[in-house]
Amino acid sequence: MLTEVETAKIAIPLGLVLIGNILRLRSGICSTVLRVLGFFSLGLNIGKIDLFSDMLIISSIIIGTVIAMYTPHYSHLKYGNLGLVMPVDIFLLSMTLVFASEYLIELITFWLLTELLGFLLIAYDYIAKKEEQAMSAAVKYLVFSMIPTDVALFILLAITGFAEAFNTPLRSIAPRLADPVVLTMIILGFFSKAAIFPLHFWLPDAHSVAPSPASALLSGLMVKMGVFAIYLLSHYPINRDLAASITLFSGFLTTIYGALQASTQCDVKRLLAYSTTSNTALIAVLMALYLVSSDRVFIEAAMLYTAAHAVYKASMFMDSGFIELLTGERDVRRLGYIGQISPLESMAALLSVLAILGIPPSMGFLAKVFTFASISRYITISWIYIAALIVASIKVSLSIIYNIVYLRSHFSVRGTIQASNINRGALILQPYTFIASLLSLILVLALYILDCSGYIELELFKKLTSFLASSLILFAFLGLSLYKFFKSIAIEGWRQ
Amino acid sequence: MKNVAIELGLIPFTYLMSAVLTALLPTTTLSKKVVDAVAVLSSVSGLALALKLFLTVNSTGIALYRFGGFPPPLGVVYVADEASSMLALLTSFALFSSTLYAVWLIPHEARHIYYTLTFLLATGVHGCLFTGDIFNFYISIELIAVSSYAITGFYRDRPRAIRAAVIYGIAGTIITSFLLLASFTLYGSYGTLNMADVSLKARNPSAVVAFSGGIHGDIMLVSKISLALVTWVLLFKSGIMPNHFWLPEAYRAAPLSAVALFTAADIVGIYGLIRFYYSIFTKGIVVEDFRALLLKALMFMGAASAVVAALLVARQRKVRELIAYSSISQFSLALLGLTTEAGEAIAGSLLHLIVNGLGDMAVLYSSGILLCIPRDGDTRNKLIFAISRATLVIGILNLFGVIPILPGFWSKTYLTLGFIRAGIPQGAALVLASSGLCAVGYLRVALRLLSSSKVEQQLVGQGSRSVVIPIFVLSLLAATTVALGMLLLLSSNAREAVINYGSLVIAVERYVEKVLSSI
Repeated sequence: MLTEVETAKIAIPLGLVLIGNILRLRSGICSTVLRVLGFFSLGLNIGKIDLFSDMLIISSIIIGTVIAMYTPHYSHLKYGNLGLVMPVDIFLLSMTLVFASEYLIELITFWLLTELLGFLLIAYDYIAKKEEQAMSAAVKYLVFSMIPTDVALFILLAITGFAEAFNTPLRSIAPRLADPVVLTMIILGFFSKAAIFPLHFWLPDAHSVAPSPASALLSGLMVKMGVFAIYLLSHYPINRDLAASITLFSGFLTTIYGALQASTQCDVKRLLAYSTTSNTALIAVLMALYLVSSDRVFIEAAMLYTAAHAVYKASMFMDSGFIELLTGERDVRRLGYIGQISPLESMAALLSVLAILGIPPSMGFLAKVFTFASISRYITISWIYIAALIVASIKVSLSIIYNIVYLRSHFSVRGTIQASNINRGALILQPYTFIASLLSLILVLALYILDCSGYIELELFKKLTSFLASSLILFAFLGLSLYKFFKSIAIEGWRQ
Repeated sequence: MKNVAIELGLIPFTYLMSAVLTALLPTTTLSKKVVDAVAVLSSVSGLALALKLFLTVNSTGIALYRFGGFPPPLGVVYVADEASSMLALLTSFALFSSTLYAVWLIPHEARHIYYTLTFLLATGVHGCLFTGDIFNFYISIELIAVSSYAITGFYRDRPRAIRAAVIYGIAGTIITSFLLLASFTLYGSYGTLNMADVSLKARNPSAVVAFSGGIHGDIMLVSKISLALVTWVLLFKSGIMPNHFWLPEAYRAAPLSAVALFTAADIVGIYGLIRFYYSIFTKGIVVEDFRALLLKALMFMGAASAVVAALLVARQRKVRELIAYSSISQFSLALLGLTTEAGEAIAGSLLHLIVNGLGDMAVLYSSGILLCIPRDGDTRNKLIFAISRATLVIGILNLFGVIPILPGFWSKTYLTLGFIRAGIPQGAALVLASSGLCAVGYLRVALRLLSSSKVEQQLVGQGSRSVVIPIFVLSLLAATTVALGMLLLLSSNAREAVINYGSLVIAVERYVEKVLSSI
């Protein structure tokens, strides 16, 4: 079934990560190096099948590397032991292998494993600290996200048949999905994974309750599995109109709902969680537009948006983890002084926000360009595109609002430091968050490298290269001046 | 005479003899160890015989054994086909594990009683699985019933055990007597109680068979009555709601290793339903509409039972109650599978029974160890903990059924396959929703057990102190579960073979011809 090469592609990363984890008790540096190497070796899985999965794998690798370095410190600070590290590592590995799957049985295996580990991570506070809230969030996740997705996967496996599931490449199987009931069940199952209406309500609880590195991965990558699955469905002979209608309806609703909810939240993690539902729904809308128009540019837009959002969420959750450990506080109204304590961290948060809002040369900029360009190309053809444009614009505006709300935890004039409960130990997390915020730029670089190695996609990208290069210089200049400014207003004695 | 499988006769004989021996031996002055040795030896030989039988049936097809040499329908014949030999393997394995575990768990003085009862139970189960005669089926069910009642009341100084035994006993006796009534009425009009014979005449009323002749009365009314009665009895035996009331009580009160054996023995209900609906009263009988109606009713009952039981499972905190309601839910799913009339779904039901048995055993046995070993940092204890925890996790994941290296995934896949083939995708959704809800309970209890930091209960009457034997049982269970799962994952032949078992069960002509042609 699996050749030696294919087994090696899975075994090498797995082995390196596991050994790294076992060694962590002896030597911290050695273990981290091994684990990072393990994640990089996942790059063996980049199979040039198509750009979507390769971008997802690359995003997973770079996010995973930073999280790999971040998690031991976080785990030590919050729980006093390193118990969080192994589950997070295996979770990331398993998720990346989902994106790298070649056969249906592989996809299902790693998908189910990822879901199970997701449950464990959401319930981690229950395991470690007996918090009932974590268990009830995890149960909600199990019932409203895992079960529907299992229904979708098992039905897909049953319809495909064992022979094809084991031997035919994933995008070439042609399951008979003519029955609209079956198709709806499958799509709704994948919606529950991506937290799109009607099965979206488990996400805010689950992602705000999980430990921050886990939330980073859950929000950044796991919900994208649902979108990835819908992308796979688009290769099969399905009733595209039905699929597109369902996705557009739910996607529109969730995008607006998520963005509105995010703007009214006070808890930083819940804010980020609602933002995830909104962004994922927008990606699903792009996918639906692809189903309607069969134009690849929508897939490209969806892919870029996915990557941009993944790194954005990762760095924002890492930042919220920092805030949580530094101050013990998650309410924006009672924060506001982070910028005065840690200019580096606030810089990181600001950079991430700017990246997702679309500052060149970040991935968010590319994502927005592709999204709006692709939708606008079809404006005159059907009202669907006009509706999509309106929804996207509303969402983008609201995203500015909720990102500013989030940044108020860093930069609010009303914030006064409560000196008593600052945990200086958390300052060790700063560099990792900063690196995470730069991932958006690194991804563009990766995209450029990939593009040079011969993908036929991304016409628009080729036209933008020189512009991006020049904007990089301006961006660096902006970054440096901002940092100097923050340092000057930071309070002496708090800086490391 | 080809296809005479002596194992079919030997297995019940071995178990019966051991039951008698272990009851009688302690009256002599022999050491207690002899009793243990007899019990373990005979369970091992039973397992070996069952394995040999399974291999034989797989290579040469249906095997027969005629008791006393009398040809059917004059005498009682034991028939082993692929499905029943597979389930018999589960039961023998369960008996073997249970016997070994009991050496550790059950105190000296009472162990011989325990062996007697469990071996009688196993004899009954094997009888039910293999018998080709309806009255013999009733006898075997009664044997199972009587030994179950006694085992439920094993800890006779506890009020709870007595209460459970009484509930089970009274309800069980009343309900299984319906089975007796059904067999009387069948005999009255069919003139025979041989399964193949009845099957032939139900489809072809004018058939004449040697020794039993033709039919004697109105078979339409009688078939309906007996089918309905038998269905109800078998629903009770498998604990499908609303006939489930005895099950949580019994599982709570019986000794731990007996509960594990129950989960493998209560499969006779589902198996009996498969036999009655697909080998005796099959498609094409004179009362076909009634049969279809009953199957539909069973589908609704199974669906409702699965979901309600799963909701109850989600609320449980203790292992025994968890396993009790989980068994109800899993048996209901197996029932759902068999109502679809699709070969894949029936294969899924059979595999699901095995998965449930293995999973329940793993969870029960490992919880028994985890709850009473002191956490004192002793290195040997660390290894014991590691194995127990690993087995618990394997058991839970097997029951949940989401990891392809464990057989639970495959039984759900087969059930889903069957539902899709039968054109009822909602059934697949129900199966998965039900096991997902059960998983809430499984995971919660597992997390509690895995992270508990103190000894929660003392052993109930000390068996031997050394835990080598139970750890061996756990390792064997874990290894078997993973091996079965890996076999299904890696070998397409194994997967096809399992689907084949289901289809062969529906092929009733083969069964009838095999049995009756041996005259």
